[in-house]
Amino acid sequence: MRTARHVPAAAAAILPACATILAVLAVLSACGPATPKSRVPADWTSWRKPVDRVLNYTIPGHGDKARVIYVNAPGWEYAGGAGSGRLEFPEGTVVVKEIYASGSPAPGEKPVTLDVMVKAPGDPDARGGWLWLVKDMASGKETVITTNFCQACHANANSSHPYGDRNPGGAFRDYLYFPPIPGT
Amino acid sequence: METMRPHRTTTLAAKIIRILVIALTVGLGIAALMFGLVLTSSRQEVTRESLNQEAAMLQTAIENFMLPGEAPIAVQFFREIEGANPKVRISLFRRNGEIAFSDNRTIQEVNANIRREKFAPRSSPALEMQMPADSVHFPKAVSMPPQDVFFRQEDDAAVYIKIYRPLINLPRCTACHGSDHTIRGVIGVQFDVSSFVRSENLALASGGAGFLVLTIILAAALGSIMNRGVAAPVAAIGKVCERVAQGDFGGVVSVRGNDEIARLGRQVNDMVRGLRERSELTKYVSAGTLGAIQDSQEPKRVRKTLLFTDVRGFTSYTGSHDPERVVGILNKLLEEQSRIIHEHQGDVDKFVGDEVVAVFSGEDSPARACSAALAIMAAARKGGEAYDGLALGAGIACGEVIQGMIGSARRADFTVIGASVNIAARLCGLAKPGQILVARDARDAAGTPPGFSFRGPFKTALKGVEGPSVIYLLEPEGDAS
Ligand code: HEC
Repeated sequence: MRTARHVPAAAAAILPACATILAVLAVLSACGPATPKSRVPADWTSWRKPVDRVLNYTIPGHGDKARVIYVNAPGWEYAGGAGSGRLEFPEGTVVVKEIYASGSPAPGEKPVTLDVMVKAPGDPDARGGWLWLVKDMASGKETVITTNFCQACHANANSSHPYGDRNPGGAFRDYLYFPPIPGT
Repeated sequence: METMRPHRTTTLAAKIIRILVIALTVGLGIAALMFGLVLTSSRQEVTRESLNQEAAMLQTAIENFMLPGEAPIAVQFFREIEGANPKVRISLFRRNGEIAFSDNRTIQEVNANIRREKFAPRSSPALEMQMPADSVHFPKAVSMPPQDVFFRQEDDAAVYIKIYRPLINLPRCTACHGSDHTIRGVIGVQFDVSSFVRSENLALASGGAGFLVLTIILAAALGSIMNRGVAAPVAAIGKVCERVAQGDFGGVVSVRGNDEIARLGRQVNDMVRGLRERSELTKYVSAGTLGAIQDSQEPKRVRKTLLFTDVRGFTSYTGSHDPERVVGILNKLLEEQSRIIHEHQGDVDKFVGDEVVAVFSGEDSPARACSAALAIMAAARKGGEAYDGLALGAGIACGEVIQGMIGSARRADFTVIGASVNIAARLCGLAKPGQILVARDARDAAGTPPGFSFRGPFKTALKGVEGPSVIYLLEPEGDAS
């Protein structure tokens, strides 16, 4: 009798608390981390390169290590018809830049890091239409850079700069210093 | 016997209030807390956003001023922004945390990079910013990848929100600054939010006070509703039950509505009424008879002592007095007799007009019947005037009787029949005013307890009894008459 009489009252006290906790949990779970899945295609070495040579002059942002750039087929297809004026790459374009351990890698040596741009304008982490990510080759871990660090520097590619063809006309190059323009 | 220790009881009302206060505090408290959190976080969001925009604007400004090497214009720009908004302080750091423009090192580096003395060294620092880089937050801003760092700082006088925004060494900067580093420096913007925090605290405090008052008012209101609806009726029922426990069946729960408690009240009222009726009944019927009724109503043969009394000359008395008086006097007499009979553990079997039929049970029932009869006579004598001088006669007999429910299906009494009932009635009829006539069996069984004195034996013929009967006259001991 005694306990039974107390149950509804206790429930009345606990109910609002439970409801609140549930609501908080619901909100938290909605914001939970998504399951990681690779955004970098494994076959990038089979793609065409916008620059044939190994880049190893010192640049801010990527240092003095050897770098090799690859652009996937959609990027090339788009650039083939776009000329050298304003560029805006289609969704699905992927640009991979291999970074090596030293300035002069041995033949067959594997890169230590990939700096990658994936065109995905709908992605909430995209900046300037691109997902900017860094892949550590040893661990396979891909880190999406959500700050404007990468984009801020790459914005300079849309005006004249000291690399490649230097974009002398200051055309919008969709943040690429070395866009896949046939013939450059 | 154990002494009754007063023990602490929590009243239902107190429990209700406690539960209400807990429920309200938890419920409203969480709501108020959430509200407060939302409020402060949205304020913080706004401050952050405006700081962010300010930093972005400064960043663009610096990038553009510095491209042609116009450091003095950048400094001037900072000063003017600060002048326009006294709550804002701007600082510019080198990537190692030193204050920018504080010496000529950068000018020398730039001149070396461009291989000409384009920028003349300054004699005094261009920017005298007194705020050194924060040792905890600054490194975060220049780590890899660099990021904007927001933080809060407090001193005795004020509360600040600060942002450290890294400046990137853009390719277009490299011509002057070189390519060997990624981060050029850091812009710091400090915003004095003391007044916001003060008003926020005020809002929180008044909100908290409001919440407290609301809790108290709600608890009081709900408490009084619950009190009126639950605690008070329960207490009323409890009080009636308490009176019942003390033998007082006069309490009635006043019932309103038709909820469980009202129903309980009604049930208690019914119960108390039943108890009252029963207790009224026991005034006239002894516990022994009630027990017999409860046990079984099967007729059985038992040994009993019968006491009959009636009022002498009552019929003529009724004719000469008014009815109220007759009934009043008679009831007084009957009341007094039944009290005495009860005192002697006898049962009033019935009243027949002015006649009382009483039954006594047990080994010593003849002695008890005799002393009851003596007490009744004494009371009638003593009452004298109060009873209009009416006198009683009494007859006592004992023996086997048959006890059972006698009557019709509609109206039956649990009563006794048998020879000794008849003898006692006849003796009562025979008795003169004030006399108690006792049959021989009863006299023998009573023995001679102190206070009794039997006169006799007398022989007499009793109607309905074969042969002469031996009887005695019972008087109080030491009675001269
Ligand atoms: C301070 C400037 C700077 C920053 C910061 C920077 N980059 Fe670059 N990035 C360059 C330059 C300059 C190139 C040109 C290629 C070269 O010389 O390596 C380049 C090239 C690239 C390329 C090849 C495509 C192109 O633009 O030519 C990719 C992909 C790339 N960067 C990814 C990133 C990512 C991802 C980040 C952020 C983690 C980043 N970059 C940060 C300056 C920067």
